[in-house]
Amino acid sequence: MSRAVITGIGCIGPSGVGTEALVAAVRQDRPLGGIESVPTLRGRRRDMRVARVAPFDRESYLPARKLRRMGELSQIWTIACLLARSDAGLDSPESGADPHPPERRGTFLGTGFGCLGETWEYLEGLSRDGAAMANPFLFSESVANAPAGHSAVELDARGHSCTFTCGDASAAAAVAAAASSIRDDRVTLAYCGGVELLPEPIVQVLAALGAPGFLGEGCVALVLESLDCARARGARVYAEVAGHASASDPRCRPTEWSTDAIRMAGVMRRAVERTGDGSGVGKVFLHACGSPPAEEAEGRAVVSVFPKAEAVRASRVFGTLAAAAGFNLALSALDASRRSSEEAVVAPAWSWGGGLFSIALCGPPG
Amino acid sequence: MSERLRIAVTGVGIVCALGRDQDEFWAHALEGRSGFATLDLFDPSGCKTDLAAQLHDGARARRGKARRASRTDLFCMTAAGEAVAQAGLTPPAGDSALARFGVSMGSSTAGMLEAERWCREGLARGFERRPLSGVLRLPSSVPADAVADMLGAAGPRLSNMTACASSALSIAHAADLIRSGEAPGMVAGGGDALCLMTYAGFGALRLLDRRACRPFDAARQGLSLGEGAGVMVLERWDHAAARGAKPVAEFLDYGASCDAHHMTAPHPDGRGAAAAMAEALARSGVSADRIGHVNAHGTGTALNDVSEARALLEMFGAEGLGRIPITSTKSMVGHLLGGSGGLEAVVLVLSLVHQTAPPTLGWESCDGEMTALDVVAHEPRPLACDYGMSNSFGFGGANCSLVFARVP
Repeated sequence: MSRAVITGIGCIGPSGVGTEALVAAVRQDRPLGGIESVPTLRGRRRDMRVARVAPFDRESYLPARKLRRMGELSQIWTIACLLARSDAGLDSPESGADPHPPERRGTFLGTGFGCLGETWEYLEGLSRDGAAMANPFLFSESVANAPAGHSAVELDARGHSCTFTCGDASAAAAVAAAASSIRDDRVTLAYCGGVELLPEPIVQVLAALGAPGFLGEGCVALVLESLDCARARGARVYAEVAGHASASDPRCRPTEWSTDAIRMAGVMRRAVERTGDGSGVGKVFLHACGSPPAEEAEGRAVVSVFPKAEAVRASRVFGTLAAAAGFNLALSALDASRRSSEEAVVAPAWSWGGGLFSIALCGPPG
Repeated sequence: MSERLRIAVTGVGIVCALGRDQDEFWAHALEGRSGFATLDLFDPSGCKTDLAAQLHDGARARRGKARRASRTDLFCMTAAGEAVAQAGLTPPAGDSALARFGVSMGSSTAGMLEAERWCREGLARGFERRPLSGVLRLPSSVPADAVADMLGAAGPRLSNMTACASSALSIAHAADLIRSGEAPGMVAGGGDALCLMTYAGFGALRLLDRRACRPFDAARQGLSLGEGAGVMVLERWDHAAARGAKPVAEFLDYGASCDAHHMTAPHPDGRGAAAAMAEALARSGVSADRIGHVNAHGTGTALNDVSEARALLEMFGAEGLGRIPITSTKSMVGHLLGGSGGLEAVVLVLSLVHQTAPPTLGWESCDGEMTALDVVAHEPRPLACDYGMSNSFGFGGANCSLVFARVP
């Protein structure tokens, strides 16, 4: 059974491109983005803070002819994967060719809303111009796994490919599946993580539904490798995906988050138990979805299971829903990289509709 | 065989244009009945065809928890209900075994049919008076939520949207969760409802046949769309035995891959499809010569069928392929997109149970590499096999092959 370690991180978000900007934003501890006056579809407007992906030069990562063939979500995810690959040292001339055969490179993407921007534009076209004028490009880019399809072409990743749609726990679901796939030796390298963008129609619907008033978007791609492969090529290891667990709250409604602190605690406890005997928990990156009852339950769950752990609420910097993009996972990996292999950092993720996930990362194996 | 944990299939459920449960479906499939008729679920004006395998009377009963469900949710709930009933797991779970089970569903359209109406009416008359319930079921996580809610299942909950491989992958990941000890059992599969978005979209990509699709036929012109769901209960073998459940089949393993070639076209040599099949066989511990039936992806498009035939040739060789009856369920019930993998896995299980392969409708003759295929045509074919494979391939190059074994 192989162990799965994180060797590369690609991050694009409201703080900019790269992990340094991500960490700096958390240190400053100030909410990113700006206030937008959002029409609520009910004839009113609601002020909401939206932390959008900061503009950056995409053509410095991909040529314009390729970008033109991709939807917005596909562009962001593919570029994040390229950043992660570069961070892992898999594209440097010194390291030679990528040692992972294409058949052993998998893609595990999470996205809560998928390509709803392209979907909305396509539906508008259908309503306006009729089915005979349906746009084939927008149709194929409206499929939620379009980003994974594009990144697989770009990275020649011919192994297992799946796009998880588990609400705002999508990135956690994807990383857990990627780690399982490495442990089962289905792949030796996995591009995994999450991407979430908030086109206007989504923000308007969320505003009308009374969603939390601070939303965020972004993308995190992680390079997961088998520990043996990472060691063989002398790669820097951020952290090991040492444990994960999942469950659900069947009483939860589709637009709400679980408030069941006992179930939340159980999932976090099991994730840490799977890291092996004796792992202590140094820090918990709270999901903090923005719903007061759910956050209160999460707080109780964390205190009951990890009373001594430091709790970090990064969503007050990046906004809620950005969890689907996996910011907490990137931050956890960076934090774990400074810890020992016996100390865990936990990133729980609770999905609207009741899905419960937890990932436990440990410092680099000795 | 490896020492991996054994997984029983203790129940299956199916709903589609050919039937509202497995008995009705199987009887109609063996009759060679076609599910295709004129579509009346929405106005297909401007589309290339008005033909689809629509379910006309199976999505009516909307009571209790099904009242707010989308059409896709309802299909998944109906199929899941049948599967857990056959497995002897009666909802609501409460403190029963089902409470520890998880749910893994795949869907590509989820609540799109309802969202389309909401969007169309909103754009025409304003959104102010349009109830938001029209879009709340749109995320593709909702069918899994709906099934878990109906069953009271509190185990792991996964949903994926990996185009036409979605529900095959949902079964694969469910097996992974069982083998990793996350749950003693999983309710897995998926479904999709017809909607204008996909109907017009496949037309725009010039992938729709004006007639009912004819997979693997020399004169095939494209795919035909359908709707419904296929769901199965996967369970640790010892868990099923302990509660006295009789397995209907055994899930052995899966293979998954990506073409990494093109967003909408398969790799011409079937590179990714062959890799998925090879991995599925290797992990199942079943040699290629022991596979006695393949439920093919078989869409009826020019490129897909050739690509799959090349992959099958690489996997089984011309001689081996000549003795494997191959069928395409899509010729009867249409392409369920995200739901097709789940439905076809259920059909494969039924084929192993009844030792009969249903026919591929519309097939008359093959050409090119496809002449190596032994397509089950015109009428059902008796089988004498212990192992079968179901293939699912999707946009984005995602591929998944599942291997099941007959339970004597």
